[in-house]
Amino acid sequence: MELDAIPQLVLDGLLTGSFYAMLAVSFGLIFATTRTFHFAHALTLTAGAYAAVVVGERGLPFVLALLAAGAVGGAVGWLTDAGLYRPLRRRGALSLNIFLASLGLLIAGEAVIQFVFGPNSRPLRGFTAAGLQAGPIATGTVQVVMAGVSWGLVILVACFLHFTRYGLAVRGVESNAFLAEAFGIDRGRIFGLVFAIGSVMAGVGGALLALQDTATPTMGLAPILAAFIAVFIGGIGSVAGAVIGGVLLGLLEHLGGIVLPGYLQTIVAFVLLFVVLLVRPSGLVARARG
Amino acid sequence: MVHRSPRRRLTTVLGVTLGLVAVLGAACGGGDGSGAPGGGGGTLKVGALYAMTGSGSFYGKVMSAGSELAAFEVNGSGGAQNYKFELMVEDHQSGDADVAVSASRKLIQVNSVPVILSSFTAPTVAVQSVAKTQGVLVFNGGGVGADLVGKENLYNTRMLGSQLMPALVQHASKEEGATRLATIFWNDAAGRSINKVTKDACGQAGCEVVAEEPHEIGATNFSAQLARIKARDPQMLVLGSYGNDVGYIVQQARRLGLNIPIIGNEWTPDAAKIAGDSLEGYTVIMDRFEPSSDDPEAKQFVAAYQKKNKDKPEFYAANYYDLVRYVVPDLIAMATKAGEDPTAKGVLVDQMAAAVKAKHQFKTVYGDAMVFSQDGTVNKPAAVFEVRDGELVRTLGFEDGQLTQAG
Repeated sequence: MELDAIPQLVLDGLLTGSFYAMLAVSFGLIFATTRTFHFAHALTLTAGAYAAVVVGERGLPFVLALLAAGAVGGAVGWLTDAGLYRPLRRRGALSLNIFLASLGLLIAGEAVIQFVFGPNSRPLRGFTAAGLQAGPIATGTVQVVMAGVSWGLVILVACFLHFTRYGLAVRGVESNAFLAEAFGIDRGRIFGLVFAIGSVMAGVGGALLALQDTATPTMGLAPILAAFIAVFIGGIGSVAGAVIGGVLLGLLEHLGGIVLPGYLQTIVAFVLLFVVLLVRPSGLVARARG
Repeated sequence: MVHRSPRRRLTTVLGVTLGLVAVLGAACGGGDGSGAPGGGGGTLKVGALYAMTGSGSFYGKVMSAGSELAAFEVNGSGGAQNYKFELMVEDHQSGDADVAVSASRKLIQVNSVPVILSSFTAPTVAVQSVAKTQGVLVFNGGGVGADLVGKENLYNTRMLGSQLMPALVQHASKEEGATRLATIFWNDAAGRSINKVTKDACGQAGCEVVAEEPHEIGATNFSAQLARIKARDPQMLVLGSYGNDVGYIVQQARRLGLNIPIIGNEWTPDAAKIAGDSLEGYTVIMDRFEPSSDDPEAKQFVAAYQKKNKDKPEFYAANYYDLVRYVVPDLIAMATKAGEDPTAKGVLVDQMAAAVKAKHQFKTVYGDAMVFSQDGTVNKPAAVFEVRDGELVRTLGFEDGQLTQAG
């Protein structure tokens, strides 16, 4: 056992967990409100990453790249709902049909991105990375920025949901869509809104990931899968649950490295998911439903 | 009266269709490529199995670019002994052996290729077992695993990790005074063979491997492995990883404060982009292809490649260019001289075996000749490079298993 590595693994786990938490909130918001298993969220993330890369390659500031990523991500997400899911819902498509459509969109979208931008990695320029050292632990400015932006977005979304009229409407639809419609809330518009908000977050997440690694056509799936697991660990329909699920997942994935070889790290996420589903199927922070 | 179920009817129809396809395929294959024995010409289909999609698609892009350019040039000059090349590219999805086997069956049974250019260790080993029963010659210009050695019908135009790494490990540990080494490597045949030769070489040099960390191919997060390596306080890190993984590992190692020498068997422009400045000082031993070489063949290749693909070629593109531009044409020439049809199964296999036995010197764009050994390995120019100011600078040469002055 590598006990000396624990402080470093805890720090890395918290930083990664912060990013997972943000993606879990974005995925969870869409899933809890619309009940759409939006697998193509991974494509939204990738589209955001490439938007940021294109802006960065033009020598524009990093903040603009983040904004572009958010805008493109939001647009892709909103269009996916308006152009694909909404017509399917109107035709009474089953959840499985919508899931398959989403999967198809992801595969086709990745192929289009590969065709347009090529298969090679594209780094995000415009941010000077530096190392940060404190005693035995070290990280980089990029990881700190990733965590900072992630927490900023999570807090913004939490404030939106709890302190605005539209936020209240989103929670109303999420809680009981038919009752919310009876009170005059336009369900379709709320669906569009949560797709846009969740997708802005995914787009920004793509830019952050491209900053840390690089943009590649298939970059979106792994982080969105982690977000999906975090949502189910934390509990569907709860921002706090998604955050706790994300941070816990990040921490355990890294701390699993104390006893497991690195290539088995991904097992930790699924073991955690199985345990939570067995012990507390509604998630760690289950919301009471009336 | 016999009643057939719809399922059975479907099976019969499929069977008849497949049979017809096989017969037509065989007829077309023979007709297509079989000129009269002795150089009648025609079309010779060259199968290619590359990583066209997935995490290793960079390799597919450059390998196909290299081989397509060579086929274009050969065909433009009238063909090899009047045989025009038709390159049939299939995708093994960045190392999936099952996908590779299916693709190779299509290449062999439907397209009737007499030769397959493969890549990556696991797909190549899987394809070789199919190809040997069908008399199809297999070349690998990219994979590095020890499993690629001593396989019937399989020849490697890339110097393997087991050939190169021992010398670099021993030299670097001595130069840096490093007695505690750590390894991080692909959790597959290629990575594990690098780890093994590193441990053996380290043992001979009197040093110790204090941490061994396998990882998933195509991973991007190495923080757990690197944190454990750091906790063991090594003095040098040896990479048995390839592709973009090299860039991510070096970048994350530096970020964690692992400011120790890092050596490996791989450098690609893509990995360099990922690692950025962190790659400074990284030392790598690999095939010695230098785009700035004065060699006329190399110059012509670099110019033509750049004109077609914008980027400068690297050694992967060069290896697959060599195969189609020089190696296969030489084998065709030998076959036609012997009065044999090079498109027929087994003919190129026999010619390659004869060329190896005769120590035939195949031309390359490396500015020197390459000679194959009976075990399928190759002897060709290789060298040690160091990343300085973002560029690869040759620091040492490599001959007969030993490092030499750069020259």
